[in-house]
Amino acid sequence: MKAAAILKRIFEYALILFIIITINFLLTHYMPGDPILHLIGEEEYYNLMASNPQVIEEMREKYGLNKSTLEQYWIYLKTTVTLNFGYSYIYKQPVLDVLLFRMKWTLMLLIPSVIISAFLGAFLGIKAGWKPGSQFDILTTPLMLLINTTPTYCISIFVLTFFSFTMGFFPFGGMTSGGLSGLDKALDIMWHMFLPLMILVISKTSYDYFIMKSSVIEISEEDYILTAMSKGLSDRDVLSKHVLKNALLPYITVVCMQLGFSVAGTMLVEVVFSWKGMGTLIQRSVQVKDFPMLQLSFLFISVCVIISNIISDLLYIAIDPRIKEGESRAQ
Amino acid sequence: MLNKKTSLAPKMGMLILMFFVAVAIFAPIISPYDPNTITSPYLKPSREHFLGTNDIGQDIFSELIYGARLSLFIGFFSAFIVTLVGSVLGIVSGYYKGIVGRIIMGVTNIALVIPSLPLTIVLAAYMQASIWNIIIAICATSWAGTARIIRSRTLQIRELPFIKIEHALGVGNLQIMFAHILPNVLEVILIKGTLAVSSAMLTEAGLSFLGLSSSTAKSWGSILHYAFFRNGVLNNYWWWYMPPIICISLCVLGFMLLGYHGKGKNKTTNKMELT
Amino acid sequence: MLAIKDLSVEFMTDHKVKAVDRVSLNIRKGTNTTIIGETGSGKSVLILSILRLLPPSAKITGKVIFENSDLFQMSKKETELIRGRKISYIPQGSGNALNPLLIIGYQVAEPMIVHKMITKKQAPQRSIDLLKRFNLGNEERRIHDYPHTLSGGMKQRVLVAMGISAGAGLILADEPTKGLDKSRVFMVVDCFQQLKSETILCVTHDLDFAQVIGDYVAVMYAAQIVEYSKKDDFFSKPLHPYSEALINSMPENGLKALKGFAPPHDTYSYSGCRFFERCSFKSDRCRSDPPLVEFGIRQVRCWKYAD
Ligand SMILES: Nc1ncnc2c1ncn2[C@@H]1O[C@H](COP(=O)(O)OP(=O)(O)OP(=O)(O)O)[C@@H](O)[C@H]1O
Ligand SMILES: [Mg+2]
Repeated sequence: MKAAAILKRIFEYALILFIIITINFLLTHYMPGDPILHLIGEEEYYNLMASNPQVIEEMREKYGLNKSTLEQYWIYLKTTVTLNFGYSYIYKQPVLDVLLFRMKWTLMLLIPSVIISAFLGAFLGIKAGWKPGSQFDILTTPLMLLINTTPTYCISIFVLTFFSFTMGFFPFGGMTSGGLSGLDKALDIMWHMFLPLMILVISKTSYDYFIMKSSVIEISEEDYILTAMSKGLSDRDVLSKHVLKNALLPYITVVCMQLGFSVAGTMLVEVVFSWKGMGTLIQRSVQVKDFPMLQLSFLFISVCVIISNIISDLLYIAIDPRIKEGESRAQ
Repeated sequence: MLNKKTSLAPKMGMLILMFFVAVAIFAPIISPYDPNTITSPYLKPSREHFLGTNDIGQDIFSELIYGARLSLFIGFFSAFIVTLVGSVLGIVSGYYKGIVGRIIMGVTNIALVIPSLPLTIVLAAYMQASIWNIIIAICATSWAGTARIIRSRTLQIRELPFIKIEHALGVGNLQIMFAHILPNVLEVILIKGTLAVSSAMLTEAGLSFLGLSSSTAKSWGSILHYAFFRNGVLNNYWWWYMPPIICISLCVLGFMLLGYHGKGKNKTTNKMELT
Repeated sequence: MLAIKDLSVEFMTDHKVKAVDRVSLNIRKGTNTTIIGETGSGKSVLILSILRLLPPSAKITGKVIFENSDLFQMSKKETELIRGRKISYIPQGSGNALNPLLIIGYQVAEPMIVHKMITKKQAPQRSIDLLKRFNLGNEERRIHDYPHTLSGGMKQRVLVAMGISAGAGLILADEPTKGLDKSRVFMVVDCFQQLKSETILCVTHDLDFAQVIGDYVAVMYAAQIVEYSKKDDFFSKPLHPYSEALINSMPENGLKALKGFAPPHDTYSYSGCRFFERCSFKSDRCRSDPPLVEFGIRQVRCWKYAD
């Protein structure tokens, strides 16, 4: 039964991936402008136009741009499936290589921030949700709301000017000071990543906090909590044995799902701190219209979202005894 | 105590929003200069230039006031489209459980998984930089959340006895959907709509901050873009970068406070669904 | 066994709601008392207030004497020791009263575990024994199941088993038959009949059920108890006009439903009989608060019997 549900989800995600690839195809071929420009990026296109227009014609041939839409689509699918995403003329490298290199740096911020904030948000959210209206709740909720409503890049700018420019505690951005190796280098990187990491942690914590808080409040109002209290359990035990388990179920899945979307969320923070990860990569690619790079980034982030969705679904299926055949949370 | 607090929040939200809307409407009257006129660049705050001038010598205070116009316009306009499309698709797919409903639901579920900020950025990058293209990019990706929640509410409501009676009486489908189901999901639509304005404004600000909006459009996000990329932050010209940050955050806070009110009031609405 | 004296419960929400108004009730050891009354009359609130299970917004006054001590004077810790062990609560089974993420066996044995009467290891065997008493069927396997696999009637039996699991002398049950069809109601009746020796206070809408399991009947109307009597007296000759109307509405008496609704809570502060609008015996004196008239242990709150 569970296997069938899992298979169904996986099929759905495969379909979504296919659709995303199709969106990319449509963007390249049907957005205003020459598809070749979209395939190789603006800068290289104008270079070639000026110096060597016949190379462009050769490319048109190679990508089958003179053929029918269906054939073009087929060629596009084939190149995508073989992980041939094209070449970035800006970076003078295949886009995939550039992306994988940059991804490493993004993950270095992303993974610790997601984990730390998942714990922090859960802890604070439980505390506030279990006794709504308590002093703790009254102090924490407005603070979290403030963090939640201020875009992360705004917080980043603020923090950067204060801690780096005014106080001089941290570097102005970037990732290393250069010329270091071994332990010194590691420490140096940590020093550089402290501020962006903290900002990601607090902004994700505020998000997780509200999820956990509302989840705990909702669960506290369930009949079975009253049942548990009527058995003589202490408040602590009601919380740990009955509320927590039920509240953690939606929480874990939401936090997991958020993992993929967070790749996009770190983007603007990276830009502010000139952290050379995916975010700055995308930002730069937009500026120079490096379309192959943009396309791959979009595809890649989508894959991250899909993977985190799958993990979250699997967790849900594994934890929740109620999940039945073909029943999905989406409804 | 607590009840007073909960009813205070939406009032505060309303107050904040009314302030910004008033500023936006009366921008030409309030603003001391035309934000496009050029004087000396990088002036510090003074009597003539309340918040100084930017890198090309435009009055920042006036930019900010006109920025309210553009930011709110993009926010409201996109939210209107998003909510309209999402609501219609949600009601229709919840009402017709058959093939139509399933197709819409399938598309919605897919749209929910597609990461919207990157897609918006890619779309905005392909199109010429203009506010209309930003609106299109925002709308293309954010209707799905509304559609999903409206659908699940419609599914509940269509099972209620009074709808079944209408059905048996032979009342037309369109009439049931829009005269009977719509009023019952209106509250959720309004809450979602309120939150949609703030999320559209946030997306717009993000895109503009990245430099994806047209260079002449003055929104809070684009002021921040120039403040950041033209060394306003590096030189710690707080009068340049702080005001747009405060405006964006306050405005979003206003919408959130307003939206939260509805959340608290309607207990049957799953709070997590709304966020 | 349990003496409720002048118990009032008021909810301090937007508009104050007095859900229970000066209720006094004596529960004798080894008897079954049922509370009947229409929806919103305050039955559930009354039951929950005894174990202090109401949210903080509820302001409770009065006394509840159980085994010579006032439950409302107890510390939190003392209350926790009473709950489940001395007085247990059986919620209605058609709802969400069982934790969906815990197996039935654990939930049934939990009161014993909480009060350190058994260890966790002994729990499965004890739940099997308990569930066998109520014929759940296939108990050895069932205890490992999750609640969603049970029908409403089965859940109710699990809840009853849970209620007696730690050997509480007093059982409070809130509408154990709500939302069940007739055959399931019989199963619950079965369960309760096995508990004949215990003391039970049971809320119900179902007059047939009250007739089968109760020794005493208390009728609640608009936050007050309007009649209290032995079951047989009550069903053969109800005194209060509202009780009479209730009995007339039973199917075997021709389903004559009572017209109208109980008055809204914000009118409770006015004087006069709360049943006034719907009463067919009303007279002018009913405009002032009716007295509680006693005939032995029988009580009725009506002017009709005042002389
Ligand atoms: N937590 C609460 N906060 C505010 N008011 C409440 C609360 N719980 C109950 N009430 C109010 O108290 C009154 C009595 O409710 P109660 O649940 O006791 O009715 P009941 O007799 O059990 O009805 P039913 O037969 O429908 O279960 C109702 O008007 C209800 O609105
Ligand atoms: Mg009740």
